[in-house]
Amino acid sequence: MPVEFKDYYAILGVPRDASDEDIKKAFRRLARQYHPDVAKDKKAAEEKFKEINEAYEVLSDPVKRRKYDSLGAAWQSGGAGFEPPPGWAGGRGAHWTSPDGTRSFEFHFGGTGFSDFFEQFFGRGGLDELFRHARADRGAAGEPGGLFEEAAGGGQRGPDIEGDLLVTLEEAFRGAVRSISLQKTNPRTGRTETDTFKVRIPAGVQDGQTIRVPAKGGAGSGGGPPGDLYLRVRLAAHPWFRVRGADLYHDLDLAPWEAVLGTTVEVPTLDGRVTVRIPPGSSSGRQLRVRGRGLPRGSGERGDLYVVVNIEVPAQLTVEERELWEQLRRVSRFNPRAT
Amino acid sequence: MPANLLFELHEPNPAEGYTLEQVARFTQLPRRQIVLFCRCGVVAPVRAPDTGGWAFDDEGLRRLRRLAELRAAYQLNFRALRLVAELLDQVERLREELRGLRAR
Repeated sequence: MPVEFKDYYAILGVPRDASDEDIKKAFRRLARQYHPDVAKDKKAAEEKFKEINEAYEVLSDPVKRRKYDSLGAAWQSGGAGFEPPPGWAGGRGAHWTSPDGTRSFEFHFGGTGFSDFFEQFFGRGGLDELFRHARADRGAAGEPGGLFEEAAGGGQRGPDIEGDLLVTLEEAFRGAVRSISLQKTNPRTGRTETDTFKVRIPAGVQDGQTIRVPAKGGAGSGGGPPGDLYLRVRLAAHPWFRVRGADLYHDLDLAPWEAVLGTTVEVPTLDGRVTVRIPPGSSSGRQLRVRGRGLPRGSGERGDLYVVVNIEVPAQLTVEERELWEQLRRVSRFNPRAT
Repeated sequence: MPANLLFELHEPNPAEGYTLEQVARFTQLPRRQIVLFCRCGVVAPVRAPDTGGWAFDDEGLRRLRRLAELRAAYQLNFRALRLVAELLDQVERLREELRGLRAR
């Protein structure tokens, strides 16, 4: 089933030889511009924000980027409908074959926040290959199904389907309802069926958490029940926050004199801005905790927000500024390399 | 009523988790095998019998199905299965750590 090729470099507006740092800067700039909380057209911005996240997910990972570049070369020499090069690992990402090889189907997700292209080539990391091999090996050995108990009334349970679900931090914070569509094609009949349903994303959902949607997997055989759909939550990269469990980290850029003399600054949180006092003598890497302003925990409490100090120095100086820095150098007894 | 409100809404699993009987029904694995998987440490229930009865979350169900497939495909004993499960977990953890580091 051909999928539409995604030009991730064009989406981030960077050249194909862009450095990792350039890619990160481009992502942060676009993510701030299209963040659903600040954009006027929220619906369009949300789509764009997810597209930017997908591009960053692939291009910020050296292994995925290398794979993507090899795909890109094949695409440029091909036609409009993208077909992967023969033998390309991961090219059957949205495909299931039964252990005995007699049943198979392709499937496409909609509403997960990832494109078909991403699902097919970059979804679920590489571990799915291991499980595909396991199924193929059982089929090659001529083993019948029988691993799982037969359903009451006979028949074999259908296979489970797994997919990634891109969730923004705001959705994880407030909870959300997402409309998901699952399109399956039966190669024997050629018929395509689309099943659309909604999934509630609970507030406080964590990166990597699994959401099971019963009976939305592959069809059973011989009267057996369908398998389940397992969605793995992937928290979207955020322009202002990094996530660790229920805690959030915000990198705060300070001028050298702010770090030395101390200051008060407003920092963003997921529910409004808070004022943080930066103590005098704060070095880069110092973490200041804002209690209870992280993501919700299962217990009803919230994680913390950590403001991480990062000292930025001016790249260009006026004559007066240079004189002042030189004066400081003459009078200061501070030695950062003193033992 | 807008058409999109007509789609069925799937609610998350109950906070108290699934019982052993429910898990056996959902996964079609024998209850004894589920208990063995837990005892050998490849699947962690959210609650064990000594603290009020078995309870599993969605991730527990996913792992049970996947590991049972692997075990059957490669005729793994429980020690080998535990090794595979630990390695898979380590890969996942390292991937997450890498993602976190790249985000800095």
